[in-house]
Amino acid sequence: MAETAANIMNVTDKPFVWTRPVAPGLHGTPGAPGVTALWRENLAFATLTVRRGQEAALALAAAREHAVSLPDGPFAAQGKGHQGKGFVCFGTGPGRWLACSEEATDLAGDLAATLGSTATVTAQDDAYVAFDLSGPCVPELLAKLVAIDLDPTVFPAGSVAVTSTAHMGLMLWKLDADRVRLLVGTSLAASFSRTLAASALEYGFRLEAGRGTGRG
Amino acid sequence: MRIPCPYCGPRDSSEFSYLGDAAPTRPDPAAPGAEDAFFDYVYLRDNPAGPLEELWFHASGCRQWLKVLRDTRTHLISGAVFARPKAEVAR
Ligand SMILES: [Zn+2]
Repeated sequence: MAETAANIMNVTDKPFVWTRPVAPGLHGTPGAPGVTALWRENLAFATLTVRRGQEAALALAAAREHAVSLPDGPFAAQGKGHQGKGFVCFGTGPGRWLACSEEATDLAGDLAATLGSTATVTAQDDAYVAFDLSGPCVPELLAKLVAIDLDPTVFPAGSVAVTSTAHMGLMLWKLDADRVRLLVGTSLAASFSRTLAASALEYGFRLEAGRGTGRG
Repeated sequence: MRIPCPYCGPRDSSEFSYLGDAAPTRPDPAAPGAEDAFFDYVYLRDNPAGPLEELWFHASGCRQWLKVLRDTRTHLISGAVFARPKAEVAR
């Protein structure tokens, strides 16, 4: 059942509602949703920061051990992890990357074992929550959230933007032509879900709860 | 105002924090006359009407200090580079 805008945003009889996540389901304009968001807490994350003077050694080790060319900019590259478990890493700043995996159970441990002498590897599994967006109105929604040109000619699949929305840090990652992954800090996920819902209600907004980690 | 970050691309100035003139360099505290040199370093600034090289920090993006060339009369921004050479970037 679709909830109306007044329903979902009504705070009068619900104390602390602004700190609660939006409930899964269809919200806003009824019918086929213009935006669907899959809330995921089951991704593994690790940050990689090159050690001083180790740029070339890290690039070599990453290529040799993980068949990945570490991106020299805000875009993603595929890598092969421990036991063939894939990961993606993207640039978040000069000499810094965020690695993300849907398969690895100890991504930071795997990367530290091979790259730990040339880079600082830090587990971030609980640090980020992902919202995978799809649907015909995602471009219109993102136009409200971020002040970045996301036209496919300048922001093709694999592009990443580290930015902020509504004073919350946000990483925007174009997974492919049809899907965008938003990463927000775990402690801001509930607030962000409300920002997302408030912005997407007019298109019809469907929130799906992905598999959680049960942590945090 | 839009600042062309060399890492992130063009971004709104709200993503940055502003430090000011990029010209002053920190004096050697052990050198003779350090007290006067520090007074100048902390308090004295030129106030040019025209292009000025300034330090901006891309806080919401790549978290790098940039040197941005801004015209103080028009806010026209004509370039931005990393404040430090790339091999020495702050992590
Ligand atoms: Zn930047």
